[in-house]
Amino acid sequence: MGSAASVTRLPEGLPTEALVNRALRGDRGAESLLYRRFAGGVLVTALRLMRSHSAAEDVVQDSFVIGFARLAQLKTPGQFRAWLLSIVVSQARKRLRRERLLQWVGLEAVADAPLHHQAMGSASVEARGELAVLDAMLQQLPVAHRLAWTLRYVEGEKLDDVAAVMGKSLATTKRYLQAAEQRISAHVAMETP
Amino acid sequence: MNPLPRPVKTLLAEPPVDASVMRVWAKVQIKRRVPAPLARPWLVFAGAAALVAFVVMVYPRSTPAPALLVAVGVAPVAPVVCQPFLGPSTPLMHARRPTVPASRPAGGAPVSPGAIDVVGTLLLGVEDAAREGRTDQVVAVLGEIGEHHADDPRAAEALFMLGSLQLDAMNKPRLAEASFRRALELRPAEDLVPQLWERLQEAEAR
Repeated sequence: MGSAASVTRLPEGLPTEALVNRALRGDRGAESLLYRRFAGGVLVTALRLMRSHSAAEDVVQDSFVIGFARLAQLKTPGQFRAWLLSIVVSQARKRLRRERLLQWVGLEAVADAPLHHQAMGSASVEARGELAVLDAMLQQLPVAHRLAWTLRYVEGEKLDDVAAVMGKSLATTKRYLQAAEQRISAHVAMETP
Repeated sequence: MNPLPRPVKTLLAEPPVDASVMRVWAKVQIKRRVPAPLARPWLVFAGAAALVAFVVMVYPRSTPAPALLVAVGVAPVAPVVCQPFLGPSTPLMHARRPTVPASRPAGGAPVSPGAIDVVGTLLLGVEDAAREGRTDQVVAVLGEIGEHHADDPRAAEALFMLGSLQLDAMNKPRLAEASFRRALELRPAEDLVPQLWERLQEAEAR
């Protein structure tokens, strides 16, 4: 940002590392390319974490604003996606906790994209029913457990990556997943992990 | 019954996010341009000082200090709300209500709280339409702002959004090029200029 900002025409295939380095030097074109490269993916993840289009957009918006402002703190430029995802998860956690507080005073957050609404057109009625139960179970879990389980078993992130984006140790992440799994498997039929 | 697969996303449809991506990018840029007021206490102080100075200039000197303080927050409704409790000679009753200007002020942005902000209303419509995925309506309203409200400072930004939509979502680089060119003609905000040039070059290259 600021007067040092510049824009150059960049090829779409430029590596993420190069884009981050250019963005650090104030190249707005590189920022724009970084956004276009990763925004779609993190929006989908945010939507599955938040269950609401507007909340997902807010989370991604805040995450990119924070991400661009703190880009200098990114130690490995090639890990931009994982780093951005950790900001998204942190923002989602804050927002979900705030929503819980609001629920206690009777202000229910609007969830226009629960899991069963996101099911493929070809999904069976039974599968949709199971997704609805899974969605309801996830709502009852503590926020950290819910986020960890969603990242691991809805999004299919690796265990190490889940721990990294949650900012927790591997042992703590496993404990979260186990606690969530116990409650979910009692109500939802799922493949064994 | 078949158990749910892991990861569950194999059972989920990929949601259409193009409109969201465009909308969020516009918001990210706006948010990065506007500093968070609470992060800069001097901005809050300057804003409060400007507000007090404005009230002092607008309200007559005969208005007593307590009424002045009330006026800061509830000027438009104070005379009506306080009517039952105050006598007709109370100075507060003579405080001026904001008036709607007869003609649009220079620069186009509405300055009076009573004036109708047509462009603002249209932009709210754009946001709703985009949220519901009605791309045609988004394009129509953004085009309307660019064409009929060119004197508004937000027109260039609207054309920037329109051009981005035409380029990224509709794959119509020629239309996008025209939108970006028109936006540049409207003397956009300084921060928007580099992005407009960048997108214009991108549209030309397609």
